[in-house]
Amino acid sequence: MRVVFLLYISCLVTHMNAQNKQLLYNVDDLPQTLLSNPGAAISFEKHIGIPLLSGISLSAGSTGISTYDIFQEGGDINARIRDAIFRLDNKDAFVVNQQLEIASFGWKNKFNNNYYSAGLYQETDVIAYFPKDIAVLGYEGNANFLDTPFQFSDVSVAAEVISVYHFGINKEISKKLRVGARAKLYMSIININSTDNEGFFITRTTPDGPNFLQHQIQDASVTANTSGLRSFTDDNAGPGKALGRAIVSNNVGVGFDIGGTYTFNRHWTATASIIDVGAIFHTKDLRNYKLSGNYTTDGIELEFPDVLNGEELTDYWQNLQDEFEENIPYQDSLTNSYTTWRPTKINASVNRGFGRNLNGDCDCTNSGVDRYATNVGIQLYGIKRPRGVQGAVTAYVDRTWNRFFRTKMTYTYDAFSNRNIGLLVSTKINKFNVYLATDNILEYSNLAKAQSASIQFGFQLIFDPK
Amino acid sequence: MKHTFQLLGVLILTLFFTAYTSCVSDVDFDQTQDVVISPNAVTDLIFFNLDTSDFENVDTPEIELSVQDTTRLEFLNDDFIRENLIEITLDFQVDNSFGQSLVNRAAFINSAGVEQYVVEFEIVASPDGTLQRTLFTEVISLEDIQAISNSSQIANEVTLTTNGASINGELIFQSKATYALEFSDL
Repeated sequence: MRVVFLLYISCLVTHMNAQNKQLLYNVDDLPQTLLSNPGAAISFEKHIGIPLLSGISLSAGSTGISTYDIFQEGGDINARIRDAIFRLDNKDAFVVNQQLEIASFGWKNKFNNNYYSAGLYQETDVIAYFPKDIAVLGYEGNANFLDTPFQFSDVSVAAEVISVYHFGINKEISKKLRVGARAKLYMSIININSTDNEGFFITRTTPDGPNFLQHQIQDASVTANTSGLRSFTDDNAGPGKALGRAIVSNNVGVGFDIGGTYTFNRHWTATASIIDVGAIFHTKDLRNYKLSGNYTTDGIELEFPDVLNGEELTDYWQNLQDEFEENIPYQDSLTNSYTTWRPTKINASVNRGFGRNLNGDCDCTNSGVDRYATNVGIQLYGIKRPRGVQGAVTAYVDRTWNRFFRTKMTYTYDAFSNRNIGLLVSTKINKFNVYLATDNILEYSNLAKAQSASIQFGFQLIFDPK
Repeated sequence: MKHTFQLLGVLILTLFFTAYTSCVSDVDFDQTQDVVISPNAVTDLIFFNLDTSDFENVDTPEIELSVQDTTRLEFLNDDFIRENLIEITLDFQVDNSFGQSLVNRAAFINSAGVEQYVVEFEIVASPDGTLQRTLFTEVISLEDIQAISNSSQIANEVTLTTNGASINGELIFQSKATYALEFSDL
């Protein structure tokens, strides 16, 4: 029980802002920028990722609470837990995202100047909204909440482990416009989804009723869909099964990314992208759980049968159980196919470059493409989640110090934090590139107080134009 | 070039040093041992209506006329309840228009049929045929919880004592239970 509680509290307080890769966006000499904008302006001609090491990303966030809020030394932890339960609402979310590039490569076609990139990455994405009403019911009970509905819709959880094959094209339409698109083939390894729950439980006071109270479950429809889980829980499949599914899964999806970069003039550019427009179709290794229906009870009504005159005793308890199961059937062996939509992301930015032109100031040498050593700008980010869009705005300073070394510093404001400073360091020695990006660095002195954090790093070979 | 690599080295070292020295401090995870969750759950219990016919049918010459019924309440002996229950409050409300006094006896019984705990209270008689309300509360504290949590049935008996007047009226019985639970061994 303690382990479960710790895990729950850990989930409650240590999630970090997921998926927003503000430090890698618009960094034109890193191939990873193509994963957040396939139409990004890029400065390299070829890249090859070190397998399993070219892109490692971990991020998580919680919109309402930190570890410190609960576990700070001194005081009354029970008061803090109670305060947290009543302070958080059902839009507060706990998010975890992890990505691992398994393979990554790309090249520029010398005939049409298109840049093609492809690869395979694995991704874990979890979002759990704070189930406010259920938490209050579990923590406080119903005695002090008569005539208050506890909504089942507060339960909203989506978790998936997938691998993604992708192939993208980055094309220069004109000197001003570059566009890109990426096709994706999703392989679902494990999926758990319970996001469309409805109905409520209520204990009504009934002054004119047959008993003090009336307990109602109204319009209940609580569903949890899983795919890929049954073979692990029932058939004891091992890691090999997961690995196999990462390569080829029976539960497949398709999607795409699109994006572009528009150059207004020599100094100003704008970018935009939509990432992960797609769905996964779960048709195999399924297990669905469903509770639905309506039920009302006032308690057990005794009938006082006249046993001496042959009336039968009534098994009230059995009748109660039967009536409940008949009206709120619990189905745990369904194998219904279902579809999940990927969490679509949008990015946009406005950038101003100034300082030294890395391509040279003369049109005769830079092919009319300006690339400045210093860039400042604003980025917008949004991700579609089950309860709406989570957004972020980032201001950044991006500095290429020399051909070996580049940094990008960001300030990001979102629902997770209003003091999120991030730093990217990217270095290249010959063709070997190492990058490390982490945000919320102000919180690193005590991560317990952080509501979000992320880190991305990788090793790869990047080939610049000769 | 030399300065570049020096700068590079310093920055990367700084970053890694920051990451390395980042820590979780000023927190005490041992406090989980102090966590106590104390929900109060309220549920309806039994209810019934009795009228003149229920006592007419009781074929007994005695002066005390009784009706009795029993139901299982199997959640009482559930391990989850048994281990975490610290108090039960039983509330009864009886509206009576019989002119006779009555007694309600609710006995909590284990699976072997042995009484574990009894709640008994008198229901006031109606002097004029109008409904007279009796409210009764029984608080079962920790020392008596064991008896309740050994039970799986409740047998409720209503006894009417004749007083020479005609037996005529109705009795409306309601009950609920409030369970104070405490989870501390997390």
